[in-house]
Amino acid sequence: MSIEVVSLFAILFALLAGGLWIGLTLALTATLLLAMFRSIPLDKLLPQYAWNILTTQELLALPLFILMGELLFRTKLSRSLFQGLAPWAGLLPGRLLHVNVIGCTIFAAISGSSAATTQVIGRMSLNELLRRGYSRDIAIGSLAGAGTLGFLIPPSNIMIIYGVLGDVSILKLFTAGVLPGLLLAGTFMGWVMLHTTLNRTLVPEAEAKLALVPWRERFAALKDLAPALFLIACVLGSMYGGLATPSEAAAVGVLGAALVAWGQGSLSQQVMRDVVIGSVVTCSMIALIVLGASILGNAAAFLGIPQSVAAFVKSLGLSPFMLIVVLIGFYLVLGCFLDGFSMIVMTLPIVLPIVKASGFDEIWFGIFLVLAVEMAQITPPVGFNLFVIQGLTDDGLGYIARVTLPYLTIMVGFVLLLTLFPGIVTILPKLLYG
Amino acid sequence: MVSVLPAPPESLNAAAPAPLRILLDAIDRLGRLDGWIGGGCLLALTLLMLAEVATRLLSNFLPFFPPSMSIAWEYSSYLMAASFTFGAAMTLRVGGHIRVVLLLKNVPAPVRRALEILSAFAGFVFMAFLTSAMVKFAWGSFTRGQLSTASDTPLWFPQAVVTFGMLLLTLQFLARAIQAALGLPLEDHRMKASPVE
Amino acid sequence: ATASWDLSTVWPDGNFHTHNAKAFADAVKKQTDGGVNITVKAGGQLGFKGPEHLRAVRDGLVPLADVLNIQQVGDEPFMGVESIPFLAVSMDELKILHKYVRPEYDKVAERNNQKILYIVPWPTQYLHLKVKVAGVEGLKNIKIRVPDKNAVDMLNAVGMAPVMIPWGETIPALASGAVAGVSTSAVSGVDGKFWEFMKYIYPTNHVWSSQMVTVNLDSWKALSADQQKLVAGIAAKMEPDFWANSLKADVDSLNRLKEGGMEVVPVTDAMMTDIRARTAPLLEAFLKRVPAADKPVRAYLAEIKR
Ligand code: NA
Ligand code: NA
Repeated sequence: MSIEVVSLFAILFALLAGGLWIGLTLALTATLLLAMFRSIPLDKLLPQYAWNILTTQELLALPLFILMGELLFRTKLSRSLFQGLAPWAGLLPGRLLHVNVIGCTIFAAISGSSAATTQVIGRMSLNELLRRGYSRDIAIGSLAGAGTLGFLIPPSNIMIIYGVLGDVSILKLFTAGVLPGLLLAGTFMGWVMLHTTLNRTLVPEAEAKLALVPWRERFAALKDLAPALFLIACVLGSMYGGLATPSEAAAVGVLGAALVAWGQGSLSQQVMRDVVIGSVVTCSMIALIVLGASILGNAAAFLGIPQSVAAFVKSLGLSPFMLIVVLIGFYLVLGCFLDGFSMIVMTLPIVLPIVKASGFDEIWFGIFLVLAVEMAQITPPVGFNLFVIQGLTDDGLGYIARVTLPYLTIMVGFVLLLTLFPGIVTILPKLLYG
Repeated sequence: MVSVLPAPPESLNAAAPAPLRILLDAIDRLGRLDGWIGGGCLLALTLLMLAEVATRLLSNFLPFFPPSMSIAWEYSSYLMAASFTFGAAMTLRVGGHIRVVLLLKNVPAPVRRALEILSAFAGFVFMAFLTSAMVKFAWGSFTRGQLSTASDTPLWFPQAVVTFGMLLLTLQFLARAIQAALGLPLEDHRMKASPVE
Repeated sequence: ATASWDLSTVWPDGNFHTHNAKAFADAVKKQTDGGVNITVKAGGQLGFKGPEHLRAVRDGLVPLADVLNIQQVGDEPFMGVESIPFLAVSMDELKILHKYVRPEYDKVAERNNQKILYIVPWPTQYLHLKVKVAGVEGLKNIKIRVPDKNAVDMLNAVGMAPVMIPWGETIPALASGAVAGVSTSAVSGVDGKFWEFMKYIYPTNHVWSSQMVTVNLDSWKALSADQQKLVAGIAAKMEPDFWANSLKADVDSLNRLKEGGMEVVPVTDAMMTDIRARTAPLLEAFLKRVPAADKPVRAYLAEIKR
C-alpha cells in the first residue's frame, strides 16, 4: 500500500475516534493529505471547492425533500398514512414494519436520492413504530436498508451521473432499475417476515389484532391514504406530466404537503417554526458531511488513490464472476469513505473497460454500480443513510450500522444473484427499447 | 414574524466570568438568529423553484409570461448555500452535527473534556482558515468584477453571504472551545425543534 | 526537469476532446522521454466546474485544464466572441476567425497566468427538436434547453422559449416534455441519446465554442527551454489533427443520431435568412459590450467579405 493510502487511513481514523465531527474530519483529512503530498495553494483551492459544492444545482432536491419530510412529520399526514396502511401491512408477519419498506419503495419512485427517501419515510414511520413498541433494531435497520432504494428505483441521481459519464442511455438505466428495485424491496420484506417469525418478541403482541380487522374496515381505511396519494400525484404528476424537472417536482411536493397540512388544520405557528428549524438542522448536518466527503473525493482524485487500486484489480486478470466478487469488495471498502459521486467518477474510466471486456452489459454494470453506491450509503463511518437516521433518532452510528448489517448482507447476495442472472436487469429495457 | 420567535431562553453560560459570558451569550444569540436566516433562505428557494414551474406552465396559455426565469436555478443554488452555512452554527449549538462518540462515551471525564476542547478547537482552526480564505475568494471576485455565466450576476455578493455564514460557524466553534474549557454545557437542546409527542 | 501534471477536464472519458487530450499526453510523454508526464483527469473528478477552469489554472490549483472559452465570459468577456450568432458558419470560416482572435485569446491567457497549448472547436451546433417546422414562425415558443445566458438571448431573439436547466435535469425533462428541444452539438446529442426523445435535427450552425488546453505559466517556466519548445511544438503539430477529429466527431455523431431514427431537416434559405435577421443585432451588442473584440471581428468580416 502506498504512503498516501496509509496516511489517509491513519488521519481519518484518529480524527474520527477523537470525536471530531464527521464532515470536518473528511475535509481536514483531505486538506492534510494535499498539504503533505501536493503543492497546491490550499487557501485558494478550499474556498473554490466549498463554493462549488455548496451551490451544486444537482443537490437542490435534497433540502426540498427534507422540508417536505418535516412537513409530513409534524402534521397529521404521517398519522393518516399509517392509519391507511396499517390494516393492510397488518396482514403480513412483521406487521407495520413493512410500512418502512413499502413507504420507501413508493417514495423512491418520487425522489432521486436515497438520503431524501430515508429522511421522509423515517420521519413518518420511525416514531410511530417505536411508539407502538416494535423492535428498535428492525425498525431502524429496515429503514436504512429500504431507504437505499431511492437510487435503484427511478428517478435516480446516480443513474444520471453514470449515464452521462459512461455514455449509457439514462432512459434504459431507469427502466433497468425497476425490476431489481421491486425484487430487492420484496427481499427486504421477506427478511422482515422471516426475522419476525423466528423471533416473535420483535413485534408487540397487541399488533396481531391488525390481521383480524374486518375487510370492510380495511377498505374503508384506504380513504386515509388520500392525502399521501395527493402528494404522490403532485410530485409524479408534475414530473411525468412535463410541468417540472425532477428537482423542481420536489418543490411541488413541498407545496402539496403544505396544502394538505393546511387543509387538515395542522399548520399552527408552532408547527411552522418547528418545520423550518428542523429542516435547517437536518440540511446543515447533511451539507457539512457532503462538503467534507466531496473535498476528500477530490483530494483522492488528485492523489490517484482509487485509480491505482482499480488498475491493480485490472492487472489480476480475473474470471467474470470473480471480477464482480472482487469489485464488490473494492466498492464496499471505497464506499466506507467516499460518497457515491466521487466513487463513480474516479473509478469508471478504469473499471468500465475491464467490465465490458469481461462480457458484461453496460446497462447491467450501471445497476451494479447503483447497488454499490447504495451499499456505501449504509456502511460506516461515512454512510449517508446512517447519518440521516442518526439525525432522526440520536442513536450511535455503530448501533445503526450494526442493525443495518442484515440488509447490507442481503444486498451483497442480491448483487451476486444479478451476476448469475443478468436477465433480471436487462429484460425490461430489452423488451421496451430493443 | 417576531411573534413566532420564542422569548430568548435563560443563558447556559451563567457560570462563566463576566466578559466571557457576554461574548458567549452574544454568539448564542447570533446562532439563534442565523438559524432563522437559514430557514428564510430555505423557504425562499422553495418559492423560487415553484415560481419557475408556475411560469413555465402559465407561459403555455398566457404568452406574456416568460417561458423560464433564467435566474431560478442559479439563485436557488445561492440560497441553498446560504441556508446550509447559516444553519450550520445553530446546528452545532443544538448538537445536530454528527460525530463518532464511541471513545468520548467510554473515557474518564478529564480525558473526555480534553477531547471536547481539542475537537472544538480543531473545528475553530479549520473553519477560521476556510473563512479567511473565503474572504479572499469573495474579495477576488469583487475586485475582478467576476460575473456568473448564467445571468451576469456579480458573484461576490452571494459569496460574501456564504462567507458570513461560515464566520458564524467559526465563532460557534470558538464559543464551544471556551465552554468546554470552562466546563459549561456544550449543547443547547432548547433551540431544537420540539419533538413530536 | 521532470514534471508530473494533472489535466482537468469536465468532459467524460468517451468524449473526443478527452481523446485528444490523452493523445496529446501520450505524445508529450513519449517525445520528452517521460520528462513531462500528463495525467488526464476526466469527468470533472478534480472538482472544478467548467466556468472555473481559467481561474483554477491561473491560481495554480491544477497545472493544465481543458478550458471551454465561452464559459469564461464571467471573468473575461472577450472569450464569448465565437458565440456571436452566425459570425462563422463553417469550420473554414472559424479557422479564419481564429486567425484574428487567437492573438487576443493568448493575451487573455497571459493575463491569467497561463499559456494556451492548443485550441479545438466543438463541432457545429444544431437545434434538436421534437417537432418538424418549415419556417421561423414554427419555432415560436418551443421550449428549448440552453446552457447559458448567451444562448438565452439568441433563442429569445429567434422567438423560441429558452429554458436554462442543468444537463442532468435535461434528459428527464425531455422525456416528460418539460422541454421540447435542445440547442447543442451532435456530439452532445449522442451523449444524451437524443433519438429516444426527439425526431428532428436542424443544422442551423448558429454559434461556436472552443476548448483550449492551457498550462499554468509557473509550471511552464519550470520546464527547460528545450522541453518547452518540444511540448509547444507537439501541440502545434497535433492541433490540425484535433480539428479534423472535431469534424469527424460531428459526422460520426450525426450518423449515429440518424441511425437512432432522427431526421436531419435542411433549413430553408428563407428560414435561415429570418433567423439571421432576428439575431443580427446581437453582433453590435457584443462589440459594444466588449470593445476589445471590435478590431479583430471587423478585420475578420472584411476578409470573408461580409
Ligand atoms: Na428514485
Ligand atoms: Na459508506
